[in-house]
Amino acid sequence: MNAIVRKALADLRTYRFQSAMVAIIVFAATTTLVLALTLQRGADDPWANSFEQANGAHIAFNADLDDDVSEIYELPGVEAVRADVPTLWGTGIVVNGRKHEVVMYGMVDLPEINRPVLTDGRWLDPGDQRGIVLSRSFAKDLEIDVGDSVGVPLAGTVEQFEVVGLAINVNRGPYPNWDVSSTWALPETLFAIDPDAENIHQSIFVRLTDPEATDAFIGRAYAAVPALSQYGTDDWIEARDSVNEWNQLITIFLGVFSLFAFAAVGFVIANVISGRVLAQFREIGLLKAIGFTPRQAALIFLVQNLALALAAGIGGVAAAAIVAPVFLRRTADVMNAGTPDAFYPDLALLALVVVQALAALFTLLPAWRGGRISTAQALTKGFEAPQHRPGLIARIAAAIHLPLVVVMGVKDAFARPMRAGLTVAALTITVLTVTFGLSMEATARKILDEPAMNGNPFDISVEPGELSEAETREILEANDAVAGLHTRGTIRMQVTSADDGVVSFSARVLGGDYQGFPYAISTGRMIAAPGEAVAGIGLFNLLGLDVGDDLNVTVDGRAVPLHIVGRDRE
Amino acid sequence: MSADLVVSGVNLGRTYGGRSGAAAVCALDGVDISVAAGELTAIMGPSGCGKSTLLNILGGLDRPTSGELYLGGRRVDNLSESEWAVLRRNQIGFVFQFFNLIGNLTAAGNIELPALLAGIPSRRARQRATGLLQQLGIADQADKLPSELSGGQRQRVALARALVNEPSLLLADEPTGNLDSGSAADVLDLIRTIHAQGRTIIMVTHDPKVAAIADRLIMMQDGQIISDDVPARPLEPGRLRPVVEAQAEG
Repeated sequence: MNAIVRKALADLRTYRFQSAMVAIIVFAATTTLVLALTLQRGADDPWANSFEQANGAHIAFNADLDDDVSEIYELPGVEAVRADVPTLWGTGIVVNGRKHEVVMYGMVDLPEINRPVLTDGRWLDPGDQRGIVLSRSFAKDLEIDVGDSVGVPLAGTVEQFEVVGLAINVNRGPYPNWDVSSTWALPETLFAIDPDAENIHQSIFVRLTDPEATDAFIGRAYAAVPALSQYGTDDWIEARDSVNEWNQLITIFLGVFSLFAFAAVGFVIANVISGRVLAQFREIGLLKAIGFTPRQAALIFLVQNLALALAAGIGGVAAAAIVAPVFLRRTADVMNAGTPDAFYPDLALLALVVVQALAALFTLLPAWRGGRISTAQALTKGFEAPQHRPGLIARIAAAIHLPLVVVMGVKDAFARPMRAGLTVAALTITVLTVTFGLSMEATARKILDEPAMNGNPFDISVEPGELSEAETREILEANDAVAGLHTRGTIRMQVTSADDGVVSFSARVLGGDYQGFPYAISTGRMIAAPGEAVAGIGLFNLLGLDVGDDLNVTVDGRAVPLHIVGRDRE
Repeated sequence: MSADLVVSGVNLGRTYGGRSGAAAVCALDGVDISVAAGELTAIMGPSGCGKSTLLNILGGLDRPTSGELYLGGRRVDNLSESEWAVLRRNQIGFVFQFFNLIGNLTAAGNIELPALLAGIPSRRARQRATGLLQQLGIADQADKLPSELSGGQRQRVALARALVNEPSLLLADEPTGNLDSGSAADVLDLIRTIHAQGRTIIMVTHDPKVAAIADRLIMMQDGQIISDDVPARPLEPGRLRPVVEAQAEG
């Protein structure tokens, strides 16, 4: 072992440039691998991660403030309940002169159940009456940062509140897909906005011992506490499906990126390390001539390359841990998930083991080959390209009369088909990975920056207030900045479900030139004629719908047949 | 097989190529050779006659494609690469025309390496290396890299490396082939001294002056031994005739 270590150390000292190249490449490969794995884990069911962080409620019931809902605590299947969370509906906050509808939760301390997942800034301070926490997706969309001010309508005036933190509400999808965003303020603020508490209700957050039994539990809860059924219910399945469908694209991106990164790391390490060993075939012969067994000769290279790979790998893991938050934050922004941890010890260990294994494999393979060839041949010829006929590519290069230097270059480059193939594959995969990584970043930016990509097909929405629809339309059409407009109203519809009886839900009604707006429909198409409808995933699940189905709904007691032409994420 | 024989080969053959439609080249053709303990044997012949191939086969650097090889009475042509490596480490020293020193180890480091490999503790290995360097007159070059040494000095280091594990057989392939006449004479003196200490030596050369120091001269041509005799001595011109005749016949 003494001789092996001495020779390995001498090699590392002598081939400093080569060693540095191997170290740099293994460093970069490890960083890429750890980043890819970390991003992949961060994107692995981001909603579930956030839900766990939030100790999320499986069901969020709504009731009037003074309703007694205490019986829900006694229902079988309940793990924990947090009731009496004052919740103000139908209020708005004003950003840059524009009012945005929000739902505002009144909280002092972060609750045990369904706590907002704080991603930036701090939580509310009972001593600071002018602090507010916004939903992160809402803040990102409107480019609001912690420390900025937003307007909150208090007793007829708009008061400025400081945004002290940003958080995620796991019961609701990201803004603007869910266009009523969540905000959190001290309970006093809710009552200052709505002194008569006309629109202040209570949210009742329930965690179940068996989350899969959500539907059945809701039925039992409605029967036991009728007050819970009057304002509808949000459940975790609906929220999860909404978020996850949105995140599918990103998850696929990250999955493919990880796969590419993994392949690239393998090919690059294979090429660099095996090339380093192949270049020293003659030395393997010399070592064998003076008494090294093939295994001992291989061990010299193994010691060198594993030492390099370990040092560079640890450096790569550290670099990934430093760089990862930048990427993770961006990904988390897009996915409306809590920013995952930047360092997972098990992933770091996995990456190190993979890199070491690759380094070992691609050291031992050529060293084993070097050990097998006759010592005399290794001493006299080293690792020479075989002297057989030029390959197909070289023959083609000659046939089309490329310059002689090109033909000779091609002949040399492809003299060993296996090695040439490895090189081509390594370069291809590396370029693919880089391209894919850049595309992913560009796509993420586009999703964040473009309203249409965000599922928000318009730049602004205008509420007529006191004006009639015709007057509003006239004012807008006179404005040169308006490229197009359409109207959107909300009506209540009822539908009969086999399981749940009559179900009431809100439906948007579009008018005007809505076809000129880039509504993004995840499955099927946007409506194009009266009688057609696009339904959200919740309705699809509730009624077992498919695109192409007909649906009979009731509006104000009148039966209205609808033909479902598309499914929306919302 | 007599135990007095350090090495012996029976009907040794070596053919290269012959696969993938390429023409086979016969480098050794039915060679019988026996070298007794303490002999200094020179192998001569024109380029491509198979002398280096024979030396490589005797040292296990190459494998015969036919025949049998014995070392100290033990059959060795069927040994694995690893078994050959251990055999070389302990029983065979090699000296090459182009020295084949390890470029990133000092002179002393080159000499110590086979000793360390043989399990000798590093302090003892260093003592052996120092002793050999003194014996070969290059003690002051111990810490220099091969690139900092002259050709003659390199070959002395190579000789010291070959001798560090006190092998029973020393194989030298054109040991003076890459040296100026002064260095060549020095190296020859050393080989003679080593031989005088009782070492069995087989060397390949194309230089009659080198061959002249041998006890025995084997002439080869076209992969075969064409003569096996006592070499001509420069001081005894009459002895040169058989060699010259043998070459002329070839």
